Amino acid sequence: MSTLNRKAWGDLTRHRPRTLLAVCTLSIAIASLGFLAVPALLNAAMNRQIAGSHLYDVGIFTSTLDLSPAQLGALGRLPGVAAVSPAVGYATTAASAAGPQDVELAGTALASAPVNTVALFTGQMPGPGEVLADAGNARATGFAIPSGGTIDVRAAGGRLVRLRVSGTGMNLAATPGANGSTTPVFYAQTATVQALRGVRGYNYLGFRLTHDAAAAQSRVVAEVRAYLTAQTGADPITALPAVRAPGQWPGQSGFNQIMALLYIITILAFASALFLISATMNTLVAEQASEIAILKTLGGRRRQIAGITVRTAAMLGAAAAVLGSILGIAIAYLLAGYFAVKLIDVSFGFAISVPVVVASLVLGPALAVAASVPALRRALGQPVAETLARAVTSGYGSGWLDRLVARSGLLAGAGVPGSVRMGVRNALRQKRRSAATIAQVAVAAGLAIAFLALGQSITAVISQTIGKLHFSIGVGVASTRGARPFGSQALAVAATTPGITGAEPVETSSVQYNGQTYVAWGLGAHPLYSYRLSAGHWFTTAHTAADAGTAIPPVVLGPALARAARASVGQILTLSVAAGPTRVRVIGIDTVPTNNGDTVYFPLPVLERLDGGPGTANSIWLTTASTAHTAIDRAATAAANRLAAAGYPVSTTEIYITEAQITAADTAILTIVDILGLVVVAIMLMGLVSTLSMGVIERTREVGILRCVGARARQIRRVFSAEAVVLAVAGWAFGVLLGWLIYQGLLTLLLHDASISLPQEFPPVIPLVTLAGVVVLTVIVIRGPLRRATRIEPGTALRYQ
Amino acid sequence: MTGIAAAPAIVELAGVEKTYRSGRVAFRALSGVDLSIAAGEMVAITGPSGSGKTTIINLIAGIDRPTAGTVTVHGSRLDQMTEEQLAVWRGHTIGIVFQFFQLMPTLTAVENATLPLDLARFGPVRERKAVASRHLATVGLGDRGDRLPLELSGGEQQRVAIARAMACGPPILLGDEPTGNLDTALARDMFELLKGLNGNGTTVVYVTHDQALAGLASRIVSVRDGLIVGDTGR
Repeated sequence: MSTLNRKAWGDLTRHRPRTLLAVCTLSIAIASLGFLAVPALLNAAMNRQIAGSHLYDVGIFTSTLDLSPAQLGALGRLPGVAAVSPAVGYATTAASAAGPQDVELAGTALASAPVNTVALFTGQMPGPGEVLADAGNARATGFAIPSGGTIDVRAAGGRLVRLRVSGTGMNLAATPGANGSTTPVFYAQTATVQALRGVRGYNYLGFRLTHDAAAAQSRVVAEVRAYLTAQTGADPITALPAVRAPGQWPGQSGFNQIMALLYIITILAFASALFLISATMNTLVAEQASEIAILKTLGGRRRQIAGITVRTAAMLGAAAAVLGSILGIAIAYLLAGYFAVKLIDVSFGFAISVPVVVASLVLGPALAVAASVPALRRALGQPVAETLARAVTSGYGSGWLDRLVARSGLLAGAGVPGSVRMGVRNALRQKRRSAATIAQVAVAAGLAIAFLALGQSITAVISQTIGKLHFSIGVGVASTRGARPFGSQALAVAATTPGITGAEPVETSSVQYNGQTYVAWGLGAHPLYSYRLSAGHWFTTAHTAADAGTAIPPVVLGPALARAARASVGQILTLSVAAGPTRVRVIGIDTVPTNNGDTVYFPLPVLERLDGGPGTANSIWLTTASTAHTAIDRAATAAANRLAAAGYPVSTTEIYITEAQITAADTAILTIVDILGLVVVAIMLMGLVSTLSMGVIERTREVGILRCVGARARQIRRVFSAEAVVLAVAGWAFGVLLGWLIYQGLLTLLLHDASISLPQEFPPVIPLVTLAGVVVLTVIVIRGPLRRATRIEPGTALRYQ
Repeated sequence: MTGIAAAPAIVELAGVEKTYRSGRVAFRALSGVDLSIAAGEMVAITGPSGSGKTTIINLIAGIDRPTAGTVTVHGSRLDQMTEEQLAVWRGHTIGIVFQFFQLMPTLTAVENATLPLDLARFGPVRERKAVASRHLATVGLGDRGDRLPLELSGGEQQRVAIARAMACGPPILLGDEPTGNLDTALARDMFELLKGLNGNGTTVVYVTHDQALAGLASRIVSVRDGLIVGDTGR
C-alpha cells in the first residue's frame, strides 16, 4: 500500500466514531433510494398476478342472459376478443352473530375460467353447495370464515341456505381490498350461485382482448353490445363497461397517491442526507487543513493531496453504499410487501430492483467524493503559512457576525450562565455545518407540520362530506347483479319500518367523461344532501317531476369534475352512460367534495331513465328517529328484513360506519406516510447527533480547558445543549415556513394527481406541537454526544490532536 | 532557597509514577518523583522536551492522575478524588496558564476572564464581571475587554489567560510554558506579572525550558527522564 493510500485509510480510521456516524448517515440516504424501487417491484408483482389470474381487459355488466355455449363461442370469436368468460354475481346477505351481513357471491368457472381465474390459496376449489372465501375478506371486510366453516346465505326466495367454505382464494377483479369494497366476496360454481338467485343465466362477461388499447376496448364493447342486442332483442348492458387500461391493476390509483407522497419524502430524505454528508466531509477536510499545508511544504502536488481526500471519501462512500443498499433492499421489500397486502391483498415474494441497487452502489462513493470537493478546493487554495498559523487559533471572530454577537451584549445579561452563552455562540462557529443542521431540522419539522396539517384537512373533509348527508342508512340493490329495483312499494315498506322517519329514493350509477369514470347520483329537488353551489342552481320540482321531459337533461357537477371539464353554468357536456353517449346541460356547480368531488348530480327520473329503469331507483336513503348507533343498527336490520320479505334483497350501509371506515382508511394512509416521514426525522436526528458529535470531537481540547478552569459535568452539558437547542429551534422556525409550503404542495399534488380537493387547515397549534416535539427529540438524541463530552478527561483532552 | 521553604507544604508529590498508554505502547513519563512545594514559593520546573515537566504540572493541577504514588495539593489528596470533585476543586484552588493561551474563542476577553467565576458561582453574578474587569486592568487590558481572542495579539491573549487564571483568587497558579509562545520582551513582562502575584502570596509553579526565565524563580527543579535531577530548594 502506498503512503498516500495508507494516509487515506488512516484519515478514515483516525476518528472511528465519526467515520461510523458519517457512514450511517450516508447509508440512510442511500437506503431511502429503496423507496424508488417500490413501484417497480409492486408493478412487476402485480403484472405476474394479472397474468396468472387472466385479469379482464373489458368487463360488461348485463341483465340476466341465459347464453348458450354456441353464443359464448360466438362472443369469443368477435374481432379483437382473445377470451371470454361469463359469470353470475349475486348480492345478498348472510346470517351472522352481529345481524345480516352483506355478501357477494360470484359464480364462475373458477380455476378453469379463461378470464378472471380464481386462484386457490388454501383448502380446495368449491364443489356443489360450497364456496371459496376471498383471501381479502378478513382484512378488508372483517368477515372471516375459516376453511371447513359454514355460511348461511339468504337465497332469492328468502330462505337461508347453508354453504360450506372449502378454502380461500382470490380473483383480482373481485377481491374487496383491491376494489375498494367492504363487502365480503365468496366464489362458487356457477350452478350454486344460479340456484341461490333462482334464475338461470349470467349477468357479467369478462373479456381479454388481443390488443388492450383504449380504441380496441371501445370497439369490442360496441361489437358485444351489437351481438347481444341482436341475440336478445334489446340492449342488455346495465352499467358502464369496466375497462382496464394497459398495465393498470385494481387498487393502483390508491397506491399511486401514496407513492406521490413517498417520492416527496424520498427527495427530502435524500436532500437532507446530502446536507449532512456535505457537512461531515467538510469537517473532515477542514480538520486536515494543517496536514494539507504540511503536505504542500513537503512538495505534494494539488492532485496528489486531493487524491488522498478523494480516496478517503470514496472509501467512506463505498462502505455507506454497501450498507445503504442492503438497507434499501430490505426497505423496498418490506414496503412493497406491506402495500401488496394492505392495498391489494396479494402476497409478495422477495425481489430486487437491479437498477435501483446499482444506482445506490454507484451513488454512495460518488456523493461522498462530490460532497468533499468544495471543502477540498478551499483547503487546497489556502496559503500554506496562513493555514499553519491558523492551526493554533480558532477561526471564530474573523467574521462580522461573530464580532456583532460578541459586542451586542446578546446573552451577556447577568441572568445568562456563561456556559449557555458559549453554547449559543458555538452555534455560529461552524456556520456552514450549523446551516446544514438547521436546514435538516427545518425539513423534518416542515414535514411533520405539513403532514399534521394534511391530517387536519382530511379530518375536515370527512366532516364536510359525510356531514352533508342527512340520512342514517343507505339501502341499495345491486342492479347490475339482477336484483329488483325499488319502486313505490319498496319505498313504502322501507318508510313504514319501525324507527325510520323518512325515505328518499335515490339512483346511484356511474358515467364517463373524457375516458374518466364519475359517480352519478339521481336526486330530488329537496334531497337529504346539503349541496353548496358556487354557481347556478339546484334542480327545480319541474326538473325532478316523473314526467319531466327535456331533450338535454340538466346536471349539477361536483367540484373535481367541474374543474376537469372546465365547466360553467349553461355548458353542454357529452357523458357516456350504460346506454351510450348522452348530452347534458350544466345548471349548477357544487363545492362539496363528495366522492372526492367526482360526482354528477342528475334529477332522479332522468338518471333512472338513463339507467334503463324508469320509475325505479336502486337506492333508498333512510332517516331514523334516533341517532344512537344501536337504534340505527336496529332500524337498518328491520328495514332490510322487511324489504327482503317483500322480495327486495338489499344491502344496507350505515353512515356512521362509513364515516368510521373512511376515517380508518385515511388514518391508515397517513400512518404509512408518517412512518416514512420518520426516515427523514431519523436523518435529521442523525444530523443533530453528527453536528454535536463533531463539535465535541473538535472541541475536545476546549472541554479539557473548561475542566481545567473548574467546569462541572453539567456545565459542560449545558454548553452543548444550548448549542443543540439553538440549532433545533432555528430549524423549527424555518420549518414552519417550509411546512406551510410543503402543505400547499401536497394539497396541489392531491388535487392535480388524484383530484382530491382538501380544505386549508393550518391551525397554530400544529407548529407549537412540532416545536415541543423538536425540542424533546433534540434533548433525547444529544445525550450520547453529551455523555462523550463529559467523560473526556482533562489530561487526555489537552493532549488531543 | 528562601525563608518561605520553611512554610507548610501546599504541594506534596510522594513516590509519584506516571505511565501513559496508547494502545500497546506505554510511555513512562515519571519514575518516582518526590516533590514538596511550600505555600508562597515561586518554582520553575525545567528540563528537556519529554523529560516529564508538563506531567508534574498536570498532576499538581489534577489534570492527570498518577499511576503510582500520592499527590496532595492544598490539603486534598487528588489521586483519590473523582473528576467532578477535581473540577470543582480546581475552580477554587488552581489557576492555569497554557503555552497556547487556550482562550474560549467565542467569548470576549472579559467573558473569558469571568468564566471561572461563573463556573464556580463565585460571589454575586453582577460582581463577577467587575472582578474580571479589575483583573484585566491589572494585566493592562482594561480597554480590550470586548475583544474576541482572534482580535488580540499573542501577548494580549496570554494576559487574558493570566486574568482568567487569577479570576477566583486561587492560592496556586500553574504555568505550562506560559511564555513559550511570546517574544523575549513580552515574556519578561509576563514574568513581572507572575512575580507580582507571587509577591501577594500566590504560590506560582511554572514549566519552562528557558534557563533565563527559570532563573527568575526562587527555586528551580530540574527534571530529566522522569526523575528530579536537581532542586535548588533542597
